[in-house]
Amino acid sequence: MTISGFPSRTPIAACALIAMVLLMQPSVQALDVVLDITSGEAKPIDIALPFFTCAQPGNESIIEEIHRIFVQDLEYSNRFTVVDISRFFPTGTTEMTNPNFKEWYLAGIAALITGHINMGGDEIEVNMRLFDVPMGNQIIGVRYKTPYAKLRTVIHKFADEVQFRLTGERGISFSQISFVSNKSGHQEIYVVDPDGGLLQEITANGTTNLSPAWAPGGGKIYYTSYAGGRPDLYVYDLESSKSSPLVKGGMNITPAISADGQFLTWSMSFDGDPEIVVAPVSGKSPKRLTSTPGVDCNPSFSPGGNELVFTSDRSGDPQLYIMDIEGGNLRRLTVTGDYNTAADWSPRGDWIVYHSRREGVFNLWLVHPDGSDDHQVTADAGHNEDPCFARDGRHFTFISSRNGGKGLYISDLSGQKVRPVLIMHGICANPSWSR
Amino acid sequence: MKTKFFNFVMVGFIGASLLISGCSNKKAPKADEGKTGPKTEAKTQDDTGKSGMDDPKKIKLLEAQAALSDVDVYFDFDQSTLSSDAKANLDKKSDYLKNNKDLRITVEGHCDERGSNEYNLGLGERRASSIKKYLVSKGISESVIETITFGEEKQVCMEHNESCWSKNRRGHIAINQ
Repeated sequence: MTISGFPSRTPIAACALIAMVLLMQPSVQALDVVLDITSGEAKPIDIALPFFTCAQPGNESIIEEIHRIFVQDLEYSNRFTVVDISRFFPTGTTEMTNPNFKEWYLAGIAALITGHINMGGDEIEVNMRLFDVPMGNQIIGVRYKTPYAKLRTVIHKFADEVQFRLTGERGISFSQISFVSNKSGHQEIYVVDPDGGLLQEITANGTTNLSPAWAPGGGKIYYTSYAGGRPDLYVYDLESSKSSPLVKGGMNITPAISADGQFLTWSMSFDGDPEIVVAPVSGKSPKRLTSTPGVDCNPSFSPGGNELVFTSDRSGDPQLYIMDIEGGNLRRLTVTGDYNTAADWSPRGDWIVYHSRREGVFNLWLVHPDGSDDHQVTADAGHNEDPCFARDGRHFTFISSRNGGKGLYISDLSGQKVRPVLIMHGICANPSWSR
Repeated sequence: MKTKFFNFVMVGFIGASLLISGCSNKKAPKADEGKTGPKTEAKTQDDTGKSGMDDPKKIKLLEAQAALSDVDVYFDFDQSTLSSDAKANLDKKSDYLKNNKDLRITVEGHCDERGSNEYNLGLGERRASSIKKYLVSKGISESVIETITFGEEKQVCMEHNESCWSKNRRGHIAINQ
């Protein structure tokens, strides 16, 4: 059993992953823990993460950085309590391959992660193991060789693997958020890791670029750009770093891709009226789904791809509606407030997140697709806008002015566990989280 | 008389610079990632300054600017319908267009900053379309009017108050060259 099936989501990751081999055959026995992964209220697993060992002495700063990134990834998943075990293990130069399980077990630890690094010339070799403490065996072990700049990427990948092995749910650490920022003086698209690392510039055309949307699995970003003078649709390929025009002429805005990667939906102007269309991802031969006068925009696919939630002001002000991908079975979703838009349908299907402007202030709201339990998530923290779910459906990214400006943040569904991703990076907008 | 002429020239200059900025987008490079910056406006303005005043075509353009571009059409908050003031403004513009049938125009729809930037693109499209439809209803040929939305992406006033917001909720007419 290997984790080589773990998809490579970005060229960065592809480059970073120069070598990854199993250190030994993992046990497939599950931990003796009961998890309810659907309620979002699962009891966190007590996990221990001693500082990694390093073959060469004097690399404490790298060891501490790895530890900080890894702990942050594990804690942010809401699935783990990283138990403070500093009293147990000082750092050393020898890899810990046979932990004293009884000692860990008595300390209340359910799972143990160990790691050992070996500094090469331009690369670091990183060995990481996950142990099932009650069962007394190793679940998985991996070895990566990575340039130092991509070190954090392999930590994110293993953190997600740990979460998958222990909970059955893939983590969100190894993912990227694309967003718009005016930092350069123009609205350009950028990509950043959810912990704020590895910021990259995507567009640099000196015009206005908006509404990036990831293709599933990452690798491609669909967006609207005025690079050709009008709001046209483009697609950017991260591997080749090239963008190509997709749909030109008129107005083509707010793209979104179906979870199977087969279909594109967006808002296109018909005789000056913005309407929702669906097409293959090529953008060719779009099928028009709406025909009511008024703005129809911001469509988002349901996880199964058979329905869309979108914004329409056909009632006189912007509200959310749901329809099937033939344009039928239309129903209004939001019934309170007079400015509800920017909806995103959770990949788990259970929630739709959107922003609502009330008394001039934007806040995030969650509602079930049947319209029930419509409730406000953020409050008393400036404007909170443009939400987009992570692949776990338990976190979202959004824009907030809570610390001044308009920064990029992530949060859990309660709106309480908020973490800044990028602040002081110009005015940010329209984040999209790769799934 | 002298003062009047001076005013005309000044209006022309302002109009010309508005025109240049209004059209700079259309001249943006087709290739998306060419890293070509925006057109250098200073150079274009110099060209206008040197040859603009004597050239009858340029003078006609400046006159069209003064008639169509200098006074924008304003919208109510979150609305794309035309107020009576907006219609009165457009009536003058349609008269001018009727007498200058060779002109080609682009109607830009703009919004203030308070909405959602994506919804505002749609609202700007509707605003531009409202203006186009009104001009067509007054007898202007559909074929001479293009529309484009800029949503809230091109503000003319940067402060965060109603005085500024009302200036940003606008339809702007640019002359196509």
